[in-house]
Amino acid sequence: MVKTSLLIVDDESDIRSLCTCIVAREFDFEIEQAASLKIAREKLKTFKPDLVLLDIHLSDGLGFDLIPDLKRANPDVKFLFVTAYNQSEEQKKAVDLGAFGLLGKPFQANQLIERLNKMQQ
Amino acid sequence: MSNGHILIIDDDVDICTLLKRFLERKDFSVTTAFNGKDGVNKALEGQVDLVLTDFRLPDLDGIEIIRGIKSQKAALPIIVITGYSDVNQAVKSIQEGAREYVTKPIYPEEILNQIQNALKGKLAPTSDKIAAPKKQKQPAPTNKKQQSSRPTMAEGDFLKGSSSKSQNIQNLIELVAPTDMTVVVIGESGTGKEIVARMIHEASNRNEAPFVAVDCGALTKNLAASELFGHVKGSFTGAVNDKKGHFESANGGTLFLDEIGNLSYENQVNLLRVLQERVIRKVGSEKDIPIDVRIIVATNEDLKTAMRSGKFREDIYYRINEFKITLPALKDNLDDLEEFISFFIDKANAELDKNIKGVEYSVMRALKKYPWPGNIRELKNVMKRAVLLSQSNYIKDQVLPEEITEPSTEELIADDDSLDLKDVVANAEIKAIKRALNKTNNNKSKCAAVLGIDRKTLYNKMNAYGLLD
Repeated sequence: MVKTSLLIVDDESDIRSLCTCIVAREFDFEIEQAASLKIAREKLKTFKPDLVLLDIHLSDGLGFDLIPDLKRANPDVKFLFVTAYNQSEEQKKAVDLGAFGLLGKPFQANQLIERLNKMQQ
Repeated sequence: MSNGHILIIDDDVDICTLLKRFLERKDFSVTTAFNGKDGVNKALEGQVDLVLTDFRLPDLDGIEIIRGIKSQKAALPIIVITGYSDVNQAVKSIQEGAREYVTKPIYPEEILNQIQNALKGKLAPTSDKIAAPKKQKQPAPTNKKQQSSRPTMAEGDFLKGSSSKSQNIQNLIELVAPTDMTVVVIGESGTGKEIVARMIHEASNRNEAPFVAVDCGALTKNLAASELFGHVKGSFTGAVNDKKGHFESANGGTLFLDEIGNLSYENQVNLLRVLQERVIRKVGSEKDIPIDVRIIVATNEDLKTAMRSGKFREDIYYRINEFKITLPALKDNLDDLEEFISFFIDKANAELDKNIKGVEYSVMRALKKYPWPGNIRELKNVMKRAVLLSQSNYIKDQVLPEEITEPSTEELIADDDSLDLKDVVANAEIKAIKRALNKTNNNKSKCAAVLGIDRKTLYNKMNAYGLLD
């Protein structure tokens, strides 16, 4: 059986580590990380994630801008925005783009696990 | 019966005591330890179901504590309290096998949720796992359900009500902000005086410079002058270095003096000098330092009364009272209440990752009747708590504090002036059902018997009044 694949895009290495160690504890996923849109686009050439955890404010642009690339790589991709900002326009935009939802930082292990469970259903 | 045995490890005795009391009320048994070594020993020796530990302790850090415990009791769930937004501590804790982390400041309700989650996982492992868990150092079973999340409080979202009172305040703020006038903000505790002061600062051309807020009520009598104006090394015992005062810190910006009525007479004189001459003198210094600060003061009492009793100097009053903004108490601004409620629900939804749509009709009535002694601050806290605890889309009165849902007898009598017969009957029935439920410990059959109706009728009524969970 093919493993579920997960891409974590966040410019904070601690957040990437946190997501990775929580996910690794709870799920048997194939995990890749990217610190910027540029790195993410590079990875997408070979890695077609089923699920994506995506920061909105990245060093080289907005997470929103990665959505077309994600959909090209896998039309069935499900993505969740993980962000410290809780602005309603951003929430609206995320929903309009078809996001699974938003997870506010700081989040707890439980919350991330629950969201990923729902995303898999 | 105890819900479980919790070990709390924290060197802050106050936090230990607070959590111990809170958890004991929720039927947990609790042991506390004030340092890491004692904590690890107690975890290993005693019959403990869960450990709640601070990450930073004087003798050991979180990692050493988790390792010490996990080396012998791998399945014991550990929840770590980490510093606010210190993701690194969270990463380390999870890597070492902590079940969960909560960030400071801590909220007992939230910790309770996390404890219940972790214990549910421990005592009754769920089998609804979708993906098989990868083998890790820590084999504790997991649990999917979670209701809590971390409240983060971003200050500064001021709600602009649409009532004429709120609009008027907004206009005054915009009017006075660009000037250098000293502003007096008057309002009861919790009406948002500091927020108004910040808004004035933000809308002024000083907004690049600091905004410094000082609670005059919190200044100790002896050190107030040093806090406000600074001191030079050696000016009094304990003054080991030069110290910058609040005035100097706010130079170029705005200084907000909250509860100005609490300033001692002596410091009122010093303040007057700053207002008149725009210079400060540090404690123990002979030198005047020129200062450019816009001053906003706030008070919850009528300064005129304080003046009459001689507590507050008249000359200062006239000096500072260049522009006055009076904030209404929430109970006098009910036109905006619904708007405020939905504002705080939206805010809490976003912060807590919930999707509460509104409040039930009976709740809105209760909220409108409540006198809100803590004003907007209290409303904010009540709504946030309600959103956190709500399990359904609409807020029910079970998640509101008792003082709101169960008004005192006088208020009930006052309320009875509603002549709409349906309201009168409904109110009386709701009251009777609630009382009976309380008496019978929520046993519906007994409750129905007490009320002299059958169970089905009770269910129908409870359903109609939104009393069913």
